[in-house]
Amino acid sequence: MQMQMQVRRRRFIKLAVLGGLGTAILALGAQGYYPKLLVRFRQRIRESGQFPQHWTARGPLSRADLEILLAASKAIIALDGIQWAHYAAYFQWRARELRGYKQLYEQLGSWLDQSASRSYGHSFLACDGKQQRLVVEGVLRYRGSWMGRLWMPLFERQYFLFDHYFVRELFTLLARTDLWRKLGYDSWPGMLPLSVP
Amino acid sequence: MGERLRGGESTVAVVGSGVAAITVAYLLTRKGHDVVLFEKGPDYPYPHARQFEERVNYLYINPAYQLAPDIRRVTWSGDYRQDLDHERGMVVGGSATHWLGIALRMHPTDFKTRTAYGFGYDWPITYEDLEPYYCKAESLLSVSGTDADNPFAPPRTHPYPLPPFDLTPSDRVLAARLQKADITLHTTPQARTRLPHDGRPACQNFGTCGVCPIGARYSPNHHLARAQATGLCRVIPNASVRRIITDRTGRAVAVLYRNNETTTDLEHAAKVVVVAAGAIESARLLLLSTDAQNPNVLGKQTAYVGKNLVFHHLWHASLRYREKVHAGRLGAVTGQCHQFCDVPERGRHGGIKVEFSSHYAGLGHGILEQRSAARETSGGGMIETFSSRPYLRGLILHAESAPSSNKYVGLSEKRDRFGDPFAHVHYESATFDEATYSFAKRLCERFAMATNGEIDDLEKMNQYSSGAHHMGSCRMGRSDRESVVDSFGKLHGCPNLYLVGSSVFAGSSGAVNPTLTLVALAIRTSEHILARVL
Repeated sequence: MQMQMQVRRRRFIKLAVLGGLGTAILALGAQGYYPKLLVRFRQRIRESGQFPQHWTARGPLSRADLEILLAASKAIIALDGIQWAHYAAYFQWRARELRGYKQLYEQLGSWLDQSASRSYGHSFLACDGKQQRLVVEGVLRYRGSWMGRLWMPLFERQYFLFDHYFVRELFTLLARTDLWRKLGYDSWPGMLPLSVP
Repeated sequence: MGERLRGGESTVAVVGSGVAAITVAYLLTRKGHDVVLFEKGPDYPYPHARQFEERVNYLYINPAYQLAPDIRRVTWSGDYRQDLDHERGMVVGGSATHWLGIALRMHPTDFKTRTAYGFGYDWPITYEDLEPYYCKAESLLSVSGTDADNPFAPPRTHPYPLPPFDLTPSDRVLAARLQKADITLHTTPQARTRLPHDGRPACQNFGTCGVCPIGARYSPNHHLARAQATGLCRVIPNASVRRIITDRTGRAVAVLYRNNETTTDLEHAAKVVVVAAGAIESARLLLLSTDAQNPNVLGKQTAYVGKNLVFHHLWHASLRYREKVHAGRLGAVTGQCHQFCDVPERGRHGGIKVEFSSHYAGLGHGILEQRSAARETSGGGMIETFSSRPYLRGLILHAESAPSSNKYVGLSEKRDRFGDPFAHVHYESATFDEATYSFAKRLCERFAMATNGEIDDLEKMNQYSSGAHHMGSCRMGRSDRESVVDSFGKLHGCPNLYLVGSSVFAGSSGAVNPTLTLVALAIRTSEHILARVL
């Protein structure tokens, strides 16, 4: 009997909470709250996707930072026969010319080192290829999922910036360059051709 | 209008700095006349090596070359679904700083579609009138080409200045298959140097013709630099011309402009004013330039300004083959077919130029690239996504359209930074265009069948794009009762105000690209100004 009473009380509490939430949702809707919420949400996502204001430094990357970015690129792309020199030139140009990239690349390097150190007890560059891939998967974990797309800008801004300004650009650069060779062309648009197909 | 100050003078003031404007400036300065060009947009360095480095090597679109939306905008209505605003290249040098260089002559019948086929308007000049200027334009732009492989090419009195770019090996395979179906695929005349010419190096096949780092693909800034070297030509970038000022007799006496970041209008006096701001902005400027003498619009004939706007209608398709055809690597255009530009049933629908070119691989690859870059977790996934690319061939159906009362430029309700109404374009395709689309579809099927390919994708009727070819808003004609300007581009009722560019076309340029024609007309106008006005 007491058991039944407890079940009824729990059920009542559940229904009351749900009812209360429903009423609140309807009341907020009636006051036109959702469009405002949507605007705020969009704004938050937009702001999350921009470099912090204080990231103003521009300048060349150190050799160590460049090496770690190239190692991360190799671990992410995971293909043989890629020409890496233009990726290095790309990272250096962005760090030198555009606000925010130098700090982003440096932070990414630190994150990769810390992550490698936690998992394997040594730096990212000292990891073997398999270990490096497992470390970079930490940056790739939200890719391709709707939840990740919503979650990252709201709660994991650092990953969002890594994804937006490093991983996405890396794949775009791959698509515009080495991918052409992988598909059987002997050069990519912008590269002087070895022969005209 | 607020406070205005005197802002200098020159013999000629040119509104705009695109290919037509620079042609005029180059030819007039060469004869010792001083010219000032007013460009709304920013400076754009030449050769475009820096832009190439930024865009191609570092995937960076530099905002320094973008004009602020509160100055550059256009509003539009109707069924045109593309981004009309960004079809206009508002930088020093204009849209031809990033064109593909296709340099074609119109066909003789394109000048008399009303008489020959019962649609559009006849031009006040014939192909034969313009032919010598086509030769001069081809020389100016260093066009590489041949008519030897094109039985549909219009007659010419001089050979092309440079030999043609060959068809690619895969073009040749497809050309042979098309030949069996009685279709001729031929080379494309283009303003791209096959050999070093006129101070420009030979093309090295970078494959990024939209942004050529060495000046092999013609950019108007090549001749702008030469005009400036005479000491007689000056460009004022970031300067918006707001009005053309006329005196009581109807003569243009000055242009009123404002540097984009200031609040004061400046009056620049000139003996001759040339408006070369594209079909949309040129019409807008005439509509804005009202005064006591011209309460509705500048010039004698008001009814036609902005009317008769016409676009090309381009539909893109992808054809899929069983063997690799390796398209898309070459940014330059290669094979095309002029066989269907001037068909006997023209008039029931428009003519179509078919570009079986190797400069793009297939529809939607840009979007695919963006999605893929946002989703993939390894390069292997990317290879899989794009694995069809070597088997695809892009086909562009480049169709003519006809003027109608539902295609026009007017003034918008929205206003720019200075308080002037933006241009408003209303563009609605007509029954004629629907019939042209049916013809395009049949051609696409015919090309696919003849080359043993399958249609992978074909844009729908309402997905047409203009190719940034906007024409006819201030059309030329024999009298002021039917047109805005005469055949030299002189505004009716205004003895020293000229229009150059595609705005003066009597209709469209048939099914072929308009640039060579507008340069030929600009040369003709320049010679007229030199002989009759200066």
